[in-house]
Amino acid sequence: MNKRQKRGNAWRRLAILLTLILLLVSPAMPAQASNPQQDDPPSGSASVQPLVELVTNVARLFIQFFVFSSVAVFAVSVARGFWSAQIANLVGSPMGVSQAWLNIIAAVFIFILAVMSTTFVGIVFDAVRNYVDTSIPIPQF
Amino acid sequence: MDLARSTALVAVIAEVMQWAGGLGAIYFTVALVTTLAQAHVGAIAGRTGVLVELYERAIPIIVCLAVVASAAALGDAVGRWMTSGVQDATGAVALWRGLAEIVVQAVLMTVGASLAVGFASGVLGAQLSLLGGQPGILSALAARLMLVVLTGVLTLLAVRLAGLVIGLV
Repeated sequence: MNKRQKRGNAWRRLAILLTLILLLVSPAMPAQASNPQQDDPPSGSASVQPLVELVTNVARLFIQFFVFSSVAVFAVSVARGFWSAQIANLVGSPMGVSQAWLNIIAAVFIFILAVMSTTFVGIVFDAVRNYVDTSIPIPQF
Repeated sequence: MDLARSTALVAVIAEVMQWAGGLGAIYFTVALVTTLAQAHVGAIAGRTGVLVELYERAIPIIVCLAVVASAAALGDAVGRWMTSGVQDATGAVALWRGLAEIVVQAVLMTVGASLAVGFASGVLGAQLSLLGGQPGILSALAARLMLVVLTGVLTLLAVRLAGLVIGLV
């Protein structure tokens, strides 16, 4: 096995690992799982359920598009970071390599945020759900 | 006779719903095409922030399509409230309250989806900005995500906030 094959295998393993992370994270969709009225549905919630389900499905489609696009953009960002580090090293730029490292670290950080975005939103939703109320009070003036 | 009338009425309503659904789909397609074309022309002209405008204009179009698609259930609920029989002022207030609660439930139960979409799209936008070499991306991303979460949480707590204000009055 030559060097190129080894490198190809390493990239393939990285791609499989990223796919596994995405598959593990994707069931934690907060859009539907963290429905604030799931435990105690108010009267008439059945009438808005089709609308909610439709919006949730559209949102799921958008989120899948965004997260899978972010995988591709992450790969391009890392490649671009290393490439710019090579160029900086070639031309002898003193700050170039550190700048490239900063770019790569930022790309990794933002990619982790992208993959974990549904989980973060789920955490926010779970924290707020106990305070959500849909019944409108009628005051006595 | 009544059964025949109600069957005929249901048939008419089903036909109208079918027309309305078809018209909604046509309107959605035309609106999406013109919005995308306008964004493309703006990008050709060198206007910045085209994607923001596109995103902002596409969201109401999609929400309108979702409302059209679920119009039967919504119309059924509103119809049940309207035919419940309003005899006095208390009944009228209860009617308005029921209609308002339908709207409030529809909005609050879709906030989770919008929050997740806002979060994911914000992060993807930051990734693209990083790729383009734009400075100050992480601070812009933090501000955007905080705004998304803050507005989402405020929307979820809106009924309680309104209750607090009414209680003060």
